[in-house]
Amino acid sequence: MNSKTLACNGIVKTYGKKEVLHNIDLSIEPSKIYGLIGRNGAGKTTLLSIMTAQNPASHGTVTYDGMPVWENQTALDHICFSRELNPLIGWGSNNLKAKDYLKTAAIYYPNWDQTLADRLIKDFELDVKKRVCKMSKGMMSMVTIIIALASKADITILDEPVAGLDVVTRDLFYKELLDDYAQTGRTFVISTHIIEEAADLFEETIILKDGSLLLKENTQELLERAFHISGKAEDVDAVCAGLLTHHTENIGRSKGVTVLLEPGQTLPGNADVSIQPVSLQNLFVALCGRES
Amino acid sequence: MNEYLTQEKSIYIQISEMIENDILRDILMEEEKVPSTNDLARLYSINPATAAKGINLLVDSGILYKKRGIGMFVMTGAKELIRKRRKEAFYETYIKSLLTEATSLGISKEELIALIRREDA
Amino acid sequence: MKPFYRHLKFFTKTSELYFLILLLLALFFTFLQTLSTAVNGMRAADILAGFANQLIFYTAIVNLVLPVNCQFQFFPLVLSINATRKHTFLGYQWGSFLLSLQAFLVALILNICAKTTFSDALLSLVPVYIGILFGSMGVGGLLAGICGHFGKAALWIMMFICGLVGGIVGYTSVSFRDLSLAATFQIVTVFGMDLRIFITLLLGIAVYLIGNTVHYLLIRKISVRI
Repeated sequence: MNSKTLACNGIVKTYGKKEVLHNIDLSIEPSKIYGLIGRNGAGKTTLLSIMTAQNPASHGTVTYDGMPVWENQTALDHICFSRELNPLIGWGSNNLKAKDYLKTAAIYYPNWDQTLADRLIKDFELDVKKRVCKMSKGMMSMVTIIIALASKADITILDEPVAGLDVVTRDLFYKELLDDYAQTGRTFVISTHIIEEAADLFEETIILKDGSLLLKENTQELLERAFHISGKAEDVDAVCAGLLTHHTENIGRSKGVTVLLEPGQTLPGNADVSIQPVSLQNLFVALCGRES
Repeated sequence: MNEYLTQEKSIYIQISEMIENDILRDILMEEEKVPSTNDLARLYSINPATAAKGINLLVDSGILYKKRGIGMFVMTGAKELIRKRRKEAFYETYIKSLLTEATSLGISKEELIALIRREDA
Repeated sequence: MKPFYRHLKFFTKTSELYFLILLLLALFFTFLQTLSTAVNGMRAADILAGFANQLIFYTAIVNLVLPVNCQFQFFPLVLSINATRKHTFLGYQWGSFLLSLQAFLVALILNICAKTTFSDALLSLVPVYIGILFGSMGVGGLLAGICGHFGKAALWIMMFICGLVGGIVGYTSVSFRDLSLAATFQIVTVFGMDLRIFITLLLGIAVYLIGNTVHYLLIRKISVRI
């Protein structure tokens, strides 16, 4: 069991004149399953590739157990970043057959578990003789998942692992993930767009909005302070006085808002409005969605 | 066990309630071993920490106890304890909202009692 | 050293694969050449020497093109599975060096075995071979660095340079052939070598060192795009 933290300090990333990541401080503690959610273009993949030294940061440092991660093989040996494979790049590593890709991964990851890889190939029914660039989105996701799980790296980061997978396969992945976590206590960071399915897996949720860290919190505690209040517009406003509201929806005289309570704030008991719990997905849409 | 989880309540509370339901229905007998947090996590595709929180709720309320190195077991007298507690909570859980809804619909207490008596026929 | 072992394994495997392709290429072109000159009654020894000569020049051309392919194919792959840029660069150096070394040794052995006047003359050009191989590795590395840093736009520049260098190689191979047939013709000797041969060797090594240093400097901070 490891007790080493992957920490980002003041990460800024600029492409030309455009700053895509603004001063991000993030600390990934060991033995937890993290969920990273954010809209397309929020900077999730950029942040994850900076955290794993696959992309240089414009400013700021990333350390693992206090050591800088950049060009540091000792630190990198503990990390696995399994990223979305791009089907459009025909010339490049995606020209390889899946089995060659996996064989190379086996050479480079120090804790590679070939038995697990073989079993996952069978369970996912993956045709490893196919070239990566010729695979469907779902099959490419399977390759990503197999590499991530078989790497047995202390910190394993998966970028959109379930893209293109059908619901049965997604369920298989979640179960494999939990089995592995139960056995090894590895740290997992999973970025996904299919929030509601995976929300229950995440011990902590990290939300990235427009290149900034919006929040990083224990999922349970976050959801316990989120509520959806709906009813007559005036009643809703009365209840929400002094609270920060998000994502207001109006139809006629009725109004619905989502609130996130700060510590010390409570909702007044009021029978005239409906107070409902909010799912992680709905909370995310409320916080990061387009304002109506 | 094997119920679906809903959005309405915190997951860990649902886990503890499901175990209590199983104890009441004799699916889990007293002094029997309860599924581990990892088993529960796998069954419901939830984080083991959440499952553990649900189990700990039951340990704290005296429904389950821990045998070191083996797992969680149902306490003797748990069934009675659950029944007693739920009976005490019955008013809060069901009656209060029933009365509120009846009031908003304009149903008097006498009409309410008559509706309940309807079941006797 | 332990983490570097992985790179040795991977790049040796890759290198062997390319060496095989190289051998087949050289065999094929030697075969074509033999067909066209068969009427003159070439002996087996001459064919061997011819093949050896071909091998060196095809290796040089491969050395120009292979690094770019490596840059687009193997670098992103290996970097995406957590190798450092420095180790990957060194591993690739090992692989390309191994390729040239094997080609050189095969050519050398064949020339020694052939024992024709042509092959004996070629043996005196060994330093030139070395110079050409190193030089081509250097230029190839430089091209790879440019492509790695500037991306696919640099491909067009690369193709132009390839054509240019190919032309120079072709021209010098013809003029050196004339030189070897007139092996008694000497001007100045340095360490027992013709001065021009010595300069080619030195130039080749210098180009290798400069080209690969620039290559490393250009890829030191690249990001992985797969």
